[in-house]
Amino acid sequence: MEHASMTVPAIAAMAPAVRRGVIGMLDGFDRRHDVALIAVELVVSAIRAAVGDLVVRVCHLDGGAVRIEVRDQRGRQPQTSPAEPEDGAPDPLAVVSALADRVGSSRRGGDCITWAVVAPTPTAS
Amino acid sequence: MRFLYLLVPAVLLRLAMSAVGRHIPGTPPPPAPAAPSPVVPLPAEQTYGASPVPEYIRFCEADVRHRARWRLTYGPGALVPFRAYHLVEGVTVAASDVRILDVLLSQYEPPSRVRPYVPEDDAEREAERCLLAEAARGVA
Repeated sequence: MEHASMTVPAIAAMAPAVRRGVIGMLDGFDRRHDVALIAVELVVSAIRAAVGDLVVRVCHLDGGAVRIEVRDQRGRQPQTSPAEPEDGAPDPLAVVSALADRVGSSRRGGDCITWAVVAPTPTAS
Repeated sequence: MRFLYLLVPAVLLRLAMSAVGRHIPGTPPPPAPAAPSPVVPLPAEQTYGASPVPEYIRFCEADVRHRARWRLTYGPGALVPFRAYHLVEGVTVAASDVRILDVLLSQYEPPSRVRPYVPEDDAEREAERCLLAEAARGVA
């Protein structure tokens, strides 16, 4: 299982860089732009919740699927000014749910990990 | 007193002999120094060890490209060994691959900041207005 990762500070200016970085990690994967969009949504969600560093990790799973995970430190360094979402604003993680085949989250040692698995486009045989 | 004059050189002599390792009767003599090893000829083509930094050339290229804003380092053994420190913003990013780090550094745009040209406080604004008026009078 190959994996690549990057560590970035939890600031909004990093979101475009993460997007391009994830695309660069997934050369040859047909749904890399979907994975990049999911990565940005997960990163923005983590930035809203925590300060500190974020770890973005991309793993190639068996069967050609790709798992993207974003680890933040919301247990250790929580964001102290919670943003109030506007009424009717779309839930950014709904985009993740719509694009990914599987989505989940876990907490480990104060860190929060949100992840998504994206399978390649099935080829017509 | 004469005894002291004799004792001091004797002690010094004993110390010097122990330092050079004198031969004590009854003990085997110290081994002879090993014969010099035969000269091993150097291989015709001398090889050098691989660079500790993987993709060293690419790392150097990235360093040259981003040197004005970032300081690049490599930490062997870390999960994300390629690190970069922004010289102005003070942020640090890291990646497991130098290509990814290069992309990150190319895409990062530091957030723009509005410099506080206009004073927010009324008193501060009035003081600046007076200062400007005095400066204008001075020029006139």
